[in-house]
Amino acid sequence: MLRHLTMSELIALRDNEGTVVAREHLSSCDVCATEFERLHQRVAALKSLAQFRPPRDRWEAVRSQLAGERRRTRRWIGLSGVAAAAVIALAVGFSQFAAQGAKTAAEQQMVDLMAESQRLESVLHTVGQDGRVMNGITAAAIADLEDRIALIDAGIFEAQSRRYTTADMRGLWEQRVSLMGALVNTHVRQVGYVGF
Amino acid sequence: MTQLSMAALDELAIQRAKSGDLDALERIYRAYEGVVYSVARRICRTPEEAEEVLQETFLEVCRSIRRFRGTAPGSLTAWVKRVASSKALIRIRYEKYRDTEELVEDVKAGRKDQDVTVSIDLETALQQLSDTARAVVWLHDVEGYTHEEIAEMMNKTVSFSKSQLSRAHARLRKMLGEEVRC
Repeated sequence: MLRHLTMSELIALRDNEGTVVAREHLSSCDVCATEFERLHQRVAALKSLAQFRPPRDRWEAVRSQLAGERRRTRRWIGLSGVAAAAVIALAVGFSQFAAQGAKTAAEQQMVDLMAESQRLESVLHTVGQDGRVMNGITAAAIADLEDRIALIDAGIFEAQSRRYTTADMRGLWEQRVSLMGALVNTHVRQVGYVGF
Repeated sequence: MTQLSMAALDELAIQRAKSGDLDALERIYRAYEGVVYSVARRICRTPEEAEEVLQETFLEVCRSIRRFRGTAPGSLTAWVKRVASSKALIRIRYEKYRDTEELVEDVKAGRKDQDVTVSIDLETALQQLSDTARAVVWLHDVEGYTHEEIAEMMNKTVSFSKSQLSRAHARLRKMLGEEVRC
């Protein structure tokens, strides 16, 4: 090699990603060897910089916000817990109805959507037990999807109790299947994520 | 807090924190507030922003800890740092700052080579990097994230992360007066 190593090449060598040619040059060039040593020293100096201490205690702000969210959640759970159970019971009941035959096309679509929803619940149960570390972005995405599914479940519960039409119910089940699919995909991507 | 006490915290408090116990969540906050604030200070431009990241991080940690599945030693630390890094990166992504790299020469001119410790010089130089370059050099060289992980967190490519790192080091070298003369 007729030139000195670039910073990119020096960093690649430090990270054990450099080429053989670059490694050979490093071993025979004093200038590059000095740069390489300074790179190591600079990183060591970065690692030795003092840790900061937060100037103010933020826990009370965090605690206060959490307490507010919990109050809102408790009010919501009063409905959504009933709704989720009702949705599962509805799916099972509708499947039994479907098995008896004599369905319209719309009813058949409902049966298919409920079956798909149940299948995704089973998949979710499997992939949700992988035991891996979850990063904050993924956890937030999952929480958001779960919240939206809870809303749909409440909507299905409401629609069922008010005896909405099959077409209206089908729209809600389509949304549920779509969100369940997104939730499963997010968990599957999480399984593929290489943690620490 | 020592590694040993953090490990003890992992064993004793996480299960209670997962059930929503606020005292256990506060213990986790106390154990990690310094770590989180330091990561945030290194990535964000101002102490005020770092404080916001500290608060946002622990809100996220408290909301999501029931889904935390890590069991290996240090996995809670890694997860909390990851949340903090992501929050800080989101913040710098949306914050627009005046690029202060033109002030490098002023900084060099004002440096007292004999009296100022290396760490102070490095602190100053680090602050003169662009937000993105500073974040990459800190996350890669100090926190130990791979370029792939940084690219994922920044929603950029691996090449972008590598390029930012080499440019950051080239600038640090220049600001610290470390250039080797042939």
